[in-house]
Amino acid sequence: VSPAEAAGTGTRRLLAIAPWLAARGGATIEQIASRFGLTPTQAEDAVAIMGFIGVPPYGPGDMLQVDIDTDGLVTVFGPLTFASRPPRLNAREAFAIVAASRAAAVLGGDDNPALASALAKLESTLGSTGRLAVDLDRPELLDDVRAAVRQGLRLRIRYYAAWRDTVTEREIDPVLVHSAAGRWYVDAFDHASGEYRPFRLDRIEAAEPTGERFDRPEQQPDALPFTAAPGAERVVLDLPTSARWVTESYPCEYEELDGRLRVTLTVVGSHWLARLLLRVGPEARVLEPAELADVGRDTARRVLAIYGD
Amino acid sequence: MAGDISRQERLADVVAFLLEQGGRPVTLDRIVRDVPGYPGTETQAARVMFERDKATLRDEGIPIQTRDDSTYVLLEADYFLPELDLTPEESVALNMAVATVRLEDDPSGAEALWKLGGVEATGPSLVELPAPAHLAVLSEAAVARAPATFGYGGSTRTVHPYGLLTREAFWYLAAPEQGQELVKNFRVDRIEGAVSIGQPRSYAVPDGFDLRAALPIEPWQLGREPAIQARVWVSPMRANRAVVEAGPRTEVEWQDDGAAVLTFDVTSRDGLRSWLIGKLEHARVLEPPELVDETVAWLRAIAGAPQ
Repeated sequence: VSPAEAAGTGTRRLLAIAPWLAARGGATIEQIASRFGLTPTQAEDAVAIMGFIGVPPYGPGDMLQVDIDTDGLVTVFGPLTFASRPPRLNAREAFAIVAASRAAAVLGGDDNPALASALAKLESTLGSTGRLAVDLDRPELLDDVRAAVRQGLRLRIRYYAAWRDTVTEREIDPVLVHSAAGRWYVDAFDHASGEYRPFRLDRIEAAEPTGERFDRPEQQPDALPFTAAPGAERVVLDLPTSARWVTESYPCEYEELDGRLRVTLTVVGSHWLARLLLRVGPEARVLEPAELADVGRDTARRVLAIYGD
Repeated sequence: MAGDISRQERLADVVAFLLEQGGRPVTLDRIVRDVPGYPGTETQAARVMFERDKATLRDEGIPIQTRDDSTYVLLEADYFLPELDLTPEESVALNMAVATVRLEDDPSGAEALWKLGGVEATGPSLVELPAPAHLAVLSEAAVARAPATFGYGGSTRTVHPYGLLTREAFWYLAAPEQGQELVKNFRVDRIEGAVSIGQPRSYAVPDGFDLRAALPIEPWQLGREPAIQARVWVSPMRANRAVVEAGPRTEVEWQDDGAAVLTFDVTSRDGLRSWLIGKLEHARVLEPPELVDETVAWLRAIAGAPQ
């Protein structure tokens, strides 16, 4: 964080906390910290600075009056115009709250009139009506899996394993549904492997409650990162520069060498790699490991068979 | 930290001071004399310091105006949040939205709630949207109808931003280039360097412009080639997913064994090939013959390529 950003953040806090405290009549440091997402120390610092804000000639009647009583209640009153109401949203805040609300509206469907009307008021005030859209995939099973999380229902699922191109059947205890970068995941205890792992929701072909219940974790767990499955292997590819989309679409390391791309990534099994190679085309080469060198060619021959070739 | 605190205090004091003028412009001399933290006289150093503060406040959405006679003013109408009259239910709904959906590594949504009221619900968020640089400035440009200039694909473009759309892992800026009508979609994460913004109210967005329609969902429509109609068979194992991917504009014939035949218009042959070939032997193009030939030629080139 640059000093300018730090000063901006600090000022933003001061200008928002002061009118909030003035309107509310008082709050403890803990309440301020929780309301503004601060640590208690940050809240104390903000309150300390607030007492120094004033206008010329900076006499007692020209300053924001900040008092802390013996119970730790902070009160703010004073004659200053700036403390009478909150300031406008800055561009980042305006963007973020409209984007979040638009996404939440997609998730909630049509059954959230309060959000729809809040969004309408917000967008008309900001002048941003129709300027921002969020396309969020809403998998068919989303509601069922979320209900299972809420109620602690064990599910029997049919799950497509992309790395082996097979569908497996397994029982899971789902604990958290989340979406990142346009993909939905459910984190669950997987009875087949005996561990917690994320499953891609769009790869669950069917989900049925088994009738059993499980104990939900006491604390909301953090989302698990979706990582490659066991047996992951490092491959090095030599690709034409027209395949730059590969470097943007998948986590990898790459460098440009003599007008070609040298891409290193982790893959599980050969199936996913074969699909990638076929999409890139005849100029793609597998440099490492040697035993995967022919996977593109062999797969292309297999696919040609459906054209009677 | 001490330096930060005195700067925060000075910035807040400048805001308090200017608002207290009730809309009367003041000279820089008065500002640097009256607001603590400035040198006290109008020196070059004081001028630089104030310009820097003005820029930081501008980033915070606090526009201090400079008048022709080198005086400065901060209008209440520019500073205060307009009354939104949110009902308690609406306020809760916004809080839930911000708790549910987060921008990657960006607390701005929660900070908006500092000003809009309510307490953000806690707990892990449900959705994380990507947040590449430049989103806020591009959205500001689209709202203000101000041209935006940036580097893209190795050249400098000046565009008229119509809006921003996120789909899957990316944000897209829908905007025609200046002097053109065709609305293009720029991937925001591919913008090179800084974005600069021109004069507000420089152009109009056509009535009825629809951001979603401007960015087709189907990979075979992400191009501008003359449309040709294609028919594609998808195996029973992949049919359900393929039908979802193909979107509502695709015609679907289900076969008795659970396979599906999809019919749609193609304006991007590359897009079609990538989608089709990604399904391996689970998808086969049936018509027209030229697309069948192209697909077979592509596969043959790979099948026969020297290893």
